[in-house]
Amino acid sequence: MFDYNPNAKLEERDYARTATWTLRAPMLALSNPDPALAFPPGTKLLPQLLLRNTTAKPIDAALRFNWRAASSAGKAPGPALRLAPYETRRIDVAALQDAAILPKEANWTSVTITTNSKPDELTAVAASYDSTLRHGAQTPFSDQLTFRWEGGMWEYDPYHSSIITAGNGGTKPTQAAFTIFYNQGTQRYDLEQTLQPDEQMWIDIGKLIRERVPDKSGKALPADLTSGSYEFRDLTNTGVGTLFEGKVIYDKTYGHVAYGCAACCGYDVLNAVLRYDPLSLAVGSTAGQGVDVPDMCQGGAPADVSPSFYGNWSTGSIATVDYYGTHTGVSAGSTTSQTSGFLNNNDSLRRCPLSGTPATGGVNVVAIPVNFRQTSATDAGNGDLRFIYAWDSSTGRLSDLSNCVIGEYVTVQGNSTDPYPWPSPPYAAGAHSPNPTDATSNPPAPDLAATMGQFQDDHTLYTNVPVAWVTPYVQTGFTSIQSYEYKCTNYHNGNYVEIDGPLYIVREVFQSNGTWSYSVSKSNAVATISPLP
Amino acid sequence: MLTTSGLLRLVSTFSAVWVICPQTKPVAPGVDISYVLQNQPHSLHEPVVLTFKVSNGLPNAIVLDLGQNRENGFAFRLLRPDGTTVDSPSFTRNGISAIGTIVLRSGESLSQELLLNDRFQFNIPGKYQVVGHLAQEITDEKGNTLGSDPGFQKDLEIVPKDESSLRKVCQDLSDRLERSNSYDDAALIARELAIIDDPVAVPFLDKALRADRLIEPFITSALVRIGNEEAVQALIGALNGKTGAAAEAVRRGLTQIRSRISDPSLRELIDRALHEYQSQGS
Repeated sequence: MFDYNPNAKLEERDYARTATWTLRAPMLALSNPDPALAFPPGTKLLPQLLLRNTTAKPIDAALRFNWRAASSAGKAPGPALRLAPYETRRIDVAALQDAAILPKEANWTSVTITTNSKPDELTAVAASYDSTLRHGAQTPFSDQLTFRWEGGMWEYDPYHSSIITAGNGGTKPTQAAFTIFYNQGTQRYDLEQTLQPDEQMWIDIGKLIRERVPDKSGKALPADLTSGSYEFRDLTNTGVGTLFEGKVIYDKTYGHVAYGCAACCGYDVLNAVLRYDPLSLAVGSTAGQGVDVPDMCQGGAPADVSPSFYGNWSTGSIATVDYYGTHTGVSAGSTTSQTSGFLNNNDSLRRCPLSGTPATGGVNVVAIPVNFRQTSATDAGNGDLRFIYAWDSSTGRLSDLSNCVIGEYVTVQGNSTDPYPWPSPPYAAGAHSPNPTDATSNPPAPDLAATMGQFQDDHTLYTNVPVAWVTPYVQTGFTSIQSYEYKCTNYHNGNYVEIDGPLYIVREVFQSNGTWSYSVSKSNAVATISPLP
Repeated sequence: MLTTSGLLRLVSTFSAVWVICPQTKPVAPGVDISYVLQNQPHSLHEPVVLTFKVSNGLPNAIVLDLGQNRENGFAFRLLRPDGTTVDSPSFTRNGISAIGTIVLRSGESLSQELLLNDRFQFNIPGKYQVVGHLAQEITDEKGNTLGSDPGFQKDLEIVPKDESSLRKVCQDLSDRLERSNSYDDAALIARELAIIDDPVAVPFLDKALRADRLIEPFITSALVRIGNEEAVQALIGALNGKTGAAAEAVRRGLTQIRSRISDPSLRELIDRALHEYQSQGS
């Protein structure tokens, strides 16, 4: 049974982007059957292909093979064909083996057909049975390539075993991951392999179990495992995958081989979104953008398919965007950016076809504080070390920072108690340092409007109780770690961005030459009270 | 605390009218300073806002020292209805603050709102009087003294709590917050709203907390101070909607409320919210 959709477009089914419709049969059993199938000794199969032109015009087709023997594998070109209107042609693959186009010792081959027809105008069947038609196998042709295949049950027991394969139908190498799920999906066994174009990874489940072959994390499958499910993933091409797959389960008692197909996975292409909407970035800075789309084989969890959208980005004049979607702010303002790409659509009945998918979102190029700098440091008296800091706006206009605040974050003695108690003596009983950024302190110590362009920072003695010096003096010191930070409602999700730090504020009471003194220092500046009263 | 008490002499007369007698020369003609007390009379718990204005009509620039965070350079004294007087406390603080030195070019003016509730408690109804001035003299850019701020004296009436009036004040502030287009404006409005120490303010604080205006510290602080069930619900709502430091501040606020309340159901409500927050790894 073949489906034919006269409206099918090549661009939907040209998964490998070769501008040619391509069909593959991944597991054609060759004349010399794989011993693993346990056919009766001496069984000789007659592999053959049937190709039919379903149209009223001639169709050209070319075949190629990727064969596999017990210890070797290779490629072989097949015949080039011109099929007359409505012609059905039989290709005797056994004869190709006899003619040494394919090695006689080869057990399996994949068959690839490239044609100038539109999708489904050429139909193809591959079969491989012995002369009694009692023993043999089939492998269907399909054009499907995708990023993930979810496979049903495989079997392995004294009477059954399974061989599973996945191949690279693309034009570049790809990294393929194969996972076996067992114990009701609670455990997994993972393999990975780099596949060259047309190359297949060949998974003999029975062999993995029998020989205790370790997976990539060193774990072997349980020796008594008899069934499970499986999955293939294309780790390189996430938007439009390049993997094709196949599976056979064979019965060692009667020599039956049953072919099984996995289900292709696709995306909910109508809900492709830009990862950051809006994307906020500062003038002169860069920010990456990506595309996420619900992966319907993962319950709709967002999947990163950004590479499928490379090279198609555009945006307004206040920003630029490169091939990879990296935006650079040019001037303050708002615009949109857009891109498009092809994705495997979540339509398994239509073979997860390629769907052209747009994605669009906002871009806010905003002003942020930049060039934060210390402009002065003075001993303001009474143990107050005062700094002046200044900054600019990334747009050159401080007034553009009206959505930004600037502040500090201070911890005393690392992550110690907050408020941090100052030791007494020498400080007054009850003296402590609150975290100045604690919004719940009363009154709160809020951030300052970034439009000011400068602020002062006083490192004073404690302020919660009147300053007093308690004798007998003892030598003591503690360090506060400070950073300056800003946040803007329209940048970095409104979260703080550190602009300077860490800075170390060191307060000490010490005795030198018989004189007790207090000092507070930071950034090579110091304020002192000496002598202490 | 008045650190420049020598510059300010308050004389109480039998009629309780205070007169300010600056000891230094008056400010030069052309420098116009005024103080405007808004919205008389005030209901108990309402914010009391004094607007300080100065304009420079001189041909050259003038320099004013408004003190740390542009607040600490004002000296105020309050006569309360019970006859006691209070000097405004010092605002000297550890940490960052706005630079108080302001240069006004010829023809420029400055308007700054001062929230008197930050300095005084207006916690009993009655007639108050407030006097004040800039503590430091006004100079030119070379540091030459031009004179001092003559200051002001204002009568202020606080009437008993009027819930509908308080709600109207909250609504006005909420509307202004929505219309404000800079952090400066939003922060001042948020401070006024946060000063209203009454459950009437909670729905408006809740709305303000959900606004994306960077004013969470003021609002969170007020909700923590009020600390009733409605305030707790508002904070829990914010805990689920905020990220980063804002969410962490809300978490600390809820923890503070929990530590001082005895209502078991409210404590359980907070515990659940905090547990959920922590389990989300927020």
